[in-house]
Amino acid sequence: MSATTVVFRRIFRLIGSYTLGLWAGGTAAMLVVLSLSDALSTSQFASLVSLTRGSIAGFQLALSLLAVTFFFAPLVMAGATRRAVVRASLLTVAVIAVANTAVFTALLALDPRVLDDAGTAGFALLGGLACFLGGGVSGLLLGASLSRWGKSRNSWLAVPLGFVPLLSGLLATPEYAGEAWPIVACVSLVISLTGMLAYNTILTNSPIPKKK
Amino acid sequence: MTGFSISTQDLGVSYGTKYNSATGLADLSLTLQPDTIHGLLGRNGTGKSTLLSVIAGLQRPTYGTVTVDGENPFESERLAQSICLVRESGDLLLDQKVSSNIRLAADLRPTFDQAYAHELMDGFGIDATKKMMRLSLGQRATAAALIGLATRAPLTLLDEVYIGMDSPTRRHFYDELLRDFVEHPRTIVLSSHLIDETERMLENVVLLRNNRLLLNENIDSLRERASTFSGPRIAIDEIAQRFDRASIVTRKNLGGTSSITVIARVDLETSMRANQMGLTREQVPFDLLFEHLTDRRTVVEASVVEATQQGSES
Repeated sequence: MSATTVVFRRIFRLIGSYTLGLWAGGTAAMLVVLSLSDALSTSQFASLVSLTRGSIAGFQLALSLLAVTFFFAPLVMAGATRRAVVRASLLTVAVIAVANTAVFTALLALDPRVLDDAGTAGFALLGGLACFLGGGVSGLLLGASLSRWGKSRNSWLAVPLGFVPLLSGLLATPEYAGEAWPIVACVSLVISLTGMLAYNTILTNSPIPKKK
Repeated sequence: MTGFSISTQDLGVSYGTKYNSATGLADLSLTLQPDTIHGLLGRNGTGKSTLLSVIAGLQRPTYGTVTVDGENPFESERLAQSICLVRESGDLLLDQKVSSNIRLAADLRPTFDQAYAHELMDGFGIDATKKMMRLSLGQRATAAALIGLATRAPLTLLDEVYIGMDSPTRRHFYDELLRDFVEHPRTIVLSSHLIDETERMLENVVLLRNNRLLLNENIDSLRERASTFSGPRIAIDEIAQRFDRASIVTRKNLGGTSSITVIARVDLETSMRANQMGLTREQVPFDLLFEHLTDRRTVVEASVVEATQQGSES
């Protein structure tokens, strides 16, 4: 088994289990809210599923950040190369983003409050992927910046830039970008891919300092 | 599997910015033989941890080169699996069980012996089913050192791992380390302040002073280089003149008797003359020798000796 596979399993187990828990708990909560709103006949209610997009992306950011800050040094000390950790964490974020997009699309299709079926599927797939991948990549970038530079001046520049993939993904909605949302989503995906390259550059040259 | 050799050439590490930098290591060139237990000694802040980090590929040197088994260790997949650095801080996954950390090491390192790791944990009273964060700091340090031992890596670097251990645990660990080294020879570098405890295990000593290499020598030949002569003051004065002033590290006067500690090879003629004058010659305890060798004021002490001699003459 290669080092990348070993590391991928470790990171995926952490992020995957929490993501699964979030979807399971979140779906249960949504079902309760939807049933209550039906009982109250409040027709003003928007699609709850579509509202979860931002929070899921934020959650992915937090998990990716934790994965880098907690796993990076111990995994390298345990015998993996930085490259192996970088590859494994990028693969994890990509797989989780695709899985999130699939679940998001499925739930959106099931949501009775969503009216425009044709447009919704496209938005769920492209907009969802841009947002979830952006969240994961932002978390990796923030984790890498903090691991590499800590509280130094470089972090002041790197940390705000780290949020760009997430923010660009969040903007890829008809609400913010109007009819140009697919273009914004594509730009966001390109930003996320660039972020992945930056993450690779930051971490593969990073020293592993002693824990204080 | 045999151990790896280590070689550095003009190695230097600086920290901080161009305008506010600190030296971690300077112009360090050394070669460490394989299948040997090396002691990396030096006072605080002399660059021991920095040197081990560079050898383990955890950081790049600012200048110079380092090779382990003929290869640069930074981001080398082969060497990452075969170099095991255990630091005082542990560096294990704290939110996971000890057994999970053992499995991780077993998955990543081909030489790791999982059964031996569990045997060691049992022997040292560490519950492998507990999460790392539930262990005391001393137990964490012990668990990390034991996992490092069970790794049986061709190059094992132990950086002050004994600090968190209590005295009986340390002794038990040293015994286990020696026993396993005899059965599975490899290159081990021990960095430690506890000279009196680790001395018996060392075959070779690398001494750092002022972030530079002071010496890299076999421990027995190093011991032979230091002697204490004691006897009548007048005889000691004569013997002292046979040595370079800088090599006399201490001088003590008590009434008509005196003693000097010299760090220099004693030639046959001096040895015979000392015998003739009835002087006693003793080997210097290694911890005392370490203290003298690593003391930044050693040269200053030589001038103090000079002043003492002038004082005694007047």
